[in-house]
Amino acid sequence: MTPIRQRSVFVFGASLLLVGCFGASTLDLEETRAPPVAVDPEPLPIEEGGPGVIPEDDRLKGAGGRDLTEFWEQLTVPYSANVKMLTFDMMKAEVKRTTGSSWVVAGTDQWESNRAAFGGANYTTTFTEDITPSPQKILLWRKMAYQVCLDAVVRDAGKASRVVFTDVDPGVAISTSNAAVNAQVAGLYQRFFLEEPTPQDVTRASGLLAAAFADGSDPKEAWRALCVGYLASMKFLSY
Amino acid sequence: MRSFCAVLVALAATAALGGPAATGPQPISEVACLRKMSLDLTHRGPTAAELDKVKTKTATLAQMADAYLASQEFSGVVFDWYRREFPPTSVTPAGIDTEEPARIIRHIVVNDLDFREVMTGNFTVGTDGVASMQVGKPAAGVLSTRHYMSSARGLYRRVWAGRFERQWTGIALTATSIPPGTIDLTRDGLANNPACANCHVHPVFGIDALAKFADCWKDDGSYDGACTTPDAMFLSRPGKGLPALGQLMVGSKEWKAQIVNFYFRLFFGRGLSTSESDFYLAAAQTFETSGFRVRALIKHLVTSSAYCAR
Repeated sequence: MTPIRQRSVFVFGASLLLVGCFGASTLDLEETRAPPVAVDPEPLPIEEGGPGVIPEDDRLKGAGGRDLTEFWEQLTVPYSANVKMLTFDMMKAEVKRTTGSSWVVAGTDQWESNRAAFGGANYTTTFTEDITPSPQKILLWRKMAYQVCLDAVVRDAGKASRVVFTDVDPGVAISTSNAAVNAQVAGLYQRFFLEEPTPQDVTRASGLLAAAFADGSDPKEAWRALCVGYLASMKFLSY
Repeated sequence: MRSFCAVLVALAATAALGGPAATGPQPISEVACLRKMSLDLTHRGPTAAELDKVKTKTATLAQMADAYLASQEFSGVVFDWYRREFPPTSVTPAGIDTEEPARIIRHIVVNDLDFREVMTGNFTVGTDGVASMQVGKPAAGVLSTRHYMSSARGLYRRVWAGRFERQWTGIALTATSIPPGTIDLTRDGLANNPACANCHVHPVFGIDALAKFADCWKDDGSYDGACTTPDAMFLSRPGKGLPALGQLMVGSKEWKAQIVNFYFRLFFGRGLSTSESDFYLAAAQTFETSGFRVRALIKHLVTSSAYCAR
């Protein structure tokens, strides 16, 4: 990942989570991806010898000896800039995988009615997948995250058999000295990101959980906050 | 609330800064790569059972790629790739079957057929998924579908030819405004105009020379059987009619490079870079030696070390 791209990911990730904290309604995001390669109407380098570089390798020479790579991108660091955003279908499936439920409000599934807002193609009137992390999409994503995380917590709280919170009951008061709580924090991380958290990841997430619990003394809200933090992170939204 | 937000900010910062070094992409874990692969090939994350297979080493990523490529979900993903690639346009006539090209290509990919049939095949695929012969016209895969031949036209089919070049060879010519004054816009007129001739009659990429391959196709995408196909030329190769165009294309390095680049873009989120020509050559060789099977190309891409990095 190039420095510019890495910075943009950081800006986006931080912005994503700061929206709810400071009440910003819009985000000033810059598109840092290089613009499309300019199309040159001048003659292509062909057999009569036009401008341009003819590659040495015959396998990179096309008809008339033209350079097959002429319109390719120009990246300084090979294989960089390969991180993508989830598409609409992926968002929907990943939320289901991690929270065990869909995005439902008052008994009505919300995904289809928000397909366009999340950039999904419907193949009737729209035929492209818009994966731009627009301010509207970010805010809507957070709205979705708060809802599905609330549903997950409420569904599991007080139940003997739980879907997401398998280590601790999310309705029980939180103590970070409780090993089961830390195990649950690590388990959630694995559930969302499919990898082992580092000790630092667990410490920070436990800190968030404790702070959120102290803020309102409601364990369900604290677990919900952690769930939202994971679900709305750039780490989750990109792949 | 303030303390909650402070920790949330810390989490965000950690997630952002804990990523790869600025010097280049770093390898990701097999499980993280499985997530990429699963999302790209099925549009969903891996199931618990799939994760277990990789974690316990009872399946390799290559085996998981094979499983995903054989799944019903992959069939739907391929269909969507090509519905995006062949959308209806503002000139598409009413009632045209706009999903026919996507169905043909899905059939070829899912059944692991020679991908050159996209340009040369003599069959179509119905909405029921059943393949049958294209009739009443010289067949050339998706090229001879009514949707492909009616969704871009232009004067003397120049818009169609420009789209064809971009889509199948990656060559992008710039449309220029017609300067003030009287200009003969016929093929002969532009061929004799020094300011226009290069882009219009060039033996490699000439728009008018290419458009002649489609001369016997009507604006509604149907074929005019009474028409005599003229001599045409593209990529320095002469021919007559769409089947000849399809044949010369699949024998070209431009087409092969464009197909590899199309799939590279799907899985890497951008087109190939000039600094990745070695990677391209290896992928192109895999594609060719497999008998131009796209599934072999996809497997090559999604099991590469470049893919399993970020």
